Amino acid sequence: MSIQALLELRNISKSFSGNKVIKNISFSVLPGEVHVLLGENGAGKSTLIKMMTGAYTIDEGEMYWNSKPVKFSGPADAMEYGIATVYQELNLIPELTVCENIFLGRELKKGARLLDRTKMRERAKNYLKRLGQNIDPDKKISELGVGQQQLVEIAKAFTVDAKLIIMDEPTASLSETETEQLLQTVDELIRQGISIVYISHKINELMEIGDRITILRDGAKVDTLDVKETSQDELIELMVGRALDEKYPKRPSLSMKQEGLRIENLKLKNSQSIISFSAYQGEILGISGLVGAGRTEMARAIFGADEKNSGDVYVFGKKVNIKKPKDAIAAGFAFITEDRKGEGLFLDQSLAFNINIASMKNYKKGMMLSNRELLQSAGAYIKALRVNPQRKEEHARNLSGGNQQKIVIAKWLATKAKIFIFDEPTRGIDVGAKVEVYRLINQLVQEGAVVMIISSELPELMGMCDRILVMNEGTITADLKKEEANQEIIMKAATGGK
Amino acid sequence: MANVAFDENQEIVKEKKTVKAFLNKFGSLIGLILLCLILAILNRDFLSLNNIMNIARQSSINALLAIGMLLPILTAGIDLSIGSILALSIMCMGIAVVNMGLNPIAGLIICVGTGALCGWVNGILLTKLRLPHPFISTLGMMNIARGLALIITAAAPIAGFPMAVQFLGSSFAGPIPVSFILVVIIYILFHLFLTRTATGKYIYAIGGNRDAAHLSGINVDRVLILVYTLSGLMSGLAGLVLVGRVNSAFPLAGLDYELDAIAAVIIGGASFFGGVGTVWGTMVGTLIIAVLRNGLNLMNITSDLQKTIIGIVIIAAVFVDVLRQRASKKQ
Amino acid sequence: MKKRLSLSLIFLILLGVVLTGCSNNDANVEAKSKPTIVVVLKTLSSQYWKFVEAGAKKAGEDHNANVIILGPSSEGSILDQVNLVEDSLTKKPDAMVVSPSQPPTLIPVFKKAKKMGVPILLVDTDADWDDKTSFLGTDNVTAGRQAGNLLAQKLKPGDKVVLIDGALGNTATDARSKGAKEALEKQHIKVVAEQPADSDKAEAEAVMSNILQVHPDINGVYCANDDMAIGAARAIQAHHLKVPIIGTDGTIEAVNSILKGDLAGTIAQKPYDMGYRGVVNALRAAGGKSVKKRIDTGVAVISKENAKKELSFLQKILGQ
Repeated sequence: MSIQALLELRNISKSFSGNKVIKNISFSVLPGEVHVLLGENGAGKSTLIKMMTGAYTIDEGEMYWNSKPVKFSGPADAMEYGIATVYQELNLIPELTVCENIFLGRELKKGARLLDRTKMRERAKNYLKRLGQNIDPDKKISELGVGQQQLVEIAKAFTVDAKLIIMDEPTASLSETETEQLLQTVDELIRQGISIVYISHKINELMEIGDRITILRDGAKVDTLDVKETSQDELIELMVGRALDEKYPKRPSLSMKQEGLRIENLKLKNSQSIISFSAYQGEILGISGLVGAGRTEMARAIFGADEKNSGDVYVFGKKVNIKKPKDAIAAGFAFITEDRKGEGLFLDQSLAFNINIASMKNYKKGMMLSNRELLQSAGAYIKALRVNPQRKEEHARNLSGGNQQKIVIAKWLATKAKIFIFDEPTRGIDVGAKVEVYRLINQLVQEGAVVMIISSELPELMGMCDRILVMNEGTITADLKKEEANQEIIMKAATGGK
Repeated sequence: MANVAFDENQEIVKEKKTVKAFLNKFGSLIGLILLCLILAILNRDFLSLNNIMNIARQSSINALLAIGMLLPILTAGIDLSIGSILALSIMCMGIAVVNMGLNPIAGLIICVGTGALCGWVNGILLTKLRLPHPFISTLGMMNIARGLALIITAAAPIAGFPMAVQFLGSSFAGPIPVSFILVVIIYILFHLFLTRTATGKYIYAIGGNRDAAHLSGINVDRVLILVYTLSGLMSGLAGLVLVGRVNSAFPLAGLDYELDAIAAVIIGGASFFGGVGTVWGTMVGTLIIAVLRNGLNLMNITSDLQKTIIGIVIIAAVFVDVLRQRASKKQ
Repeated sequence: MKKRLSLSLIFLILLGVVLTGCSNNDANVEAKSKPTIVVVLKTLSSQYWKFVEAGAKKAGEDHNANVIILGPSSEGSILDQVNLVEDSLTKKPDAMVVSPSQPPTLIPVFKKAKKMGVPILLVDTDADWDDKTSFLGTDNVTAGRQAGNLLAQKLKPGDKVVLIDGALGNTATDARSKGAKEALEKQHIKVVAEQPADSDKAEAEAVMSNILQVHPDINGVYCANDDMAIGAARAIQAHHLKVPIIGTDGTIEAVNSILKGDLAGTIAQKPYDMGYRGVVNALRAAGGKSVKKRIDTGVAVISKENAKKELSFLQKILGQ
């Protein structure tokens, strides 16, 4: 290659307790390029970047910075060279200001001790301006949206005079507009000559901003491609290791159309808007809308997780009174939350525990539970859903996102639920596992369940759903059949435009 | 509905029983056994039947308190009030039985009932008044109960309990103290409760992830109230044993006992973050503390130094746990 | 990893035990022929009990006995004390000297000792148990009476005084107050207020301040222990009064206060003698000789005249 690489890794390997997790990977970042790392969960992306940032040491192979060999013994070393990292989980302190966060640990001083506040504020403003942003440095982090917080995180990179910024799924929890803004910022950084290593699962996003893409699978490099010379399908195939027949698997259309769920005049707490709709057996009902439109709030209110002002819920024509999740479960509801780790799983408990927890009472034998039956049933679900690893005693923490999601679904299968509300069912799940989740959802529909999917990914809704409700400011602004839905119409309804 | 087809004759995948898993499970037990061995070598009286029964007796009060404490800790909470509740329970019983001459059986019920009632109030304060953390509600109760115990008897001890009241704390079945038999029965019941009932599993669930527990249809408030009620009830029961052992009730009884109970639970491998801990571990934790105290007493080690040593043991035991977890997470 | 750590943990404990326990163990071995007396006090962590400890230790040296002195970490650790006595019995001592924190709590263990044939001598605080070998301690009513007389000497009939008591239900301090009151009233001195301050310095300061709001014209104060006397003195000074204050116990701090003139005097108990005579009589009992059932260890009146001497004596005991 004619251009000299900024950072180059040659034949890098890394093992954990005898397991080789990175196998002989070579990889380079050119000045001013966006180099995308793509791979399923567990492919080795995180380990690889942790070696670039000095968080892990390298077992075998060499690393070069501007053609000179370097060795990092800790993150501080990497920062020294100008490598900054922006993680998916934000490392910001909510009660401190933007400025204080940007300079946290690297405060500017005048004299020996005193903080130079004016200088820090000025520089913070300057950094944010370089990102094309107009955020007040005196605002507290807690007053900003997630998107702006992400930008503050990037601004921190300037304090170490970063030449290379590594971004680990920066858009995972951002809305579409916020994502758009972040991508613009990336462009801006490139224009200033900074190189970027970018990790994301959102392939369309990668295609938009990436220059080159390196695909990893099972700890080894599959290939490095020029973005202009590849296609989404090719990338997925390389990443998964096989051609995905379809991104959104088809299911035979069903004739049954009985109304399974009817919501009448639902008013959320602190809201005056009224929500009414019905969902039917045999169809998947999608719920679209921008972040903050009230989709999750609506689902939680129906499920009894949060209080509601008023409103009636009918399940297969019968009115049910739901005050607590317990009532909803008794009525046949299942709620697969958007925050799998925070609200869905017991990470330090076994898979069996996680699967059984909502249906525990069904396994009573006299006063005691039958632990044998509990284990048997859990084992059956693990097998049926092809959870990997197939070990009932494994802790949920050790599973990949996709497998964790299967466990959450198994929990609701165990309660014999009839109405499934999926909130962002494939968030943080890699492409291969996504298809498996979609297949499971299809299977549910075929067996007569009522299924609703809340999602921020329009392609997912349009690929999977028969009907899409669009929400804006706590109410439903459109009810579209699959045939009549397109991106434009949905976005219009979602933003309240007519 | 929504049944996914299973292969009913699936083979149950067997766990590999590694040395590591064994150590994880029995690490603290091995510690206890080593400790006993060393003390036996250093002191010839340690292994005498008389002394072993002393340990059984001396550990029983903390054992009962610790098993009560295990429940709040499993839910990621804490109960600081158990020592004070113990005092209030036995003073109430003293007034009822000695001062008012009530039937001793009624006294037993009053003692355990007072404990349970105080615990229930703890639960209500936490769940219905939505106090931010049980540290606060039980810290309040700790002071309230201690204050009441002093007030209702004008700080005077009460002695002269009938035999029926003293039975649990002072009697022996052959060489075995009745209090220790009580401990064994209670521990078996708690083990069954925590591992074989839905409510028991809910306790782990709440400690592991309260939001997820709520969304899984668990009535979190109800379970928490039960947890604190049981913890208070165990204080009352421990009080009964104490009264039998020292032949009197005094309002300063149980001072700082919550700390020993917490130490036993933590040494026994429970996590302060909730969701992790076993009845078995708590038993071992209690015994480690009791054996250590007894052994140090036998060797005439002063109480100040005993405190220091026990402090080191607590920190070391938890540190071992931290290292183990770190090691298992790295894999 | 865990195994290695468990081992190192145990090793750590062992190290502590061996390092500190060695001397004691050696004593055990060489003392086979010597009689062993175990002394269990309310605690070893306050000065008063250090005096008792010093006396008991000296008695052991003087009479060639192996004396083991133990105590829980505070007077409130009641069950710890019961366990200590119980564990000590395992070692089958020839006799025990005990100062019970809550007398009734120890009776079941005392009964066990009786069954094992171990004589029990009580010091400082008595217990309602007929089979004890002896009780050695201050007669608190006498101590109070002496204090009352000392205060009366500094006053004239018709003067007003305040009594500050220990915690409600504390038999020792109650007896002192009772004795003091008797003596004062005999001399026609009026007790205008009597309130408990839980034997605590800060509490006494607050109680005294409150009383001074109502009775700014008092002529003297008696406190049932020295800590309270020192607290009360602080309140009196804050109100710019100069009246005689008498305490009881004879702590180093109190004796120093007498030298400074803050206190007019104190009735010193003789904790050193309690420890010494406790062990001596325990040895007698162990040897099968008879011991008096009640031994009054006496009191001493300390005032400005003899304070200096007392101070040097106390400091010598503590080896300062």
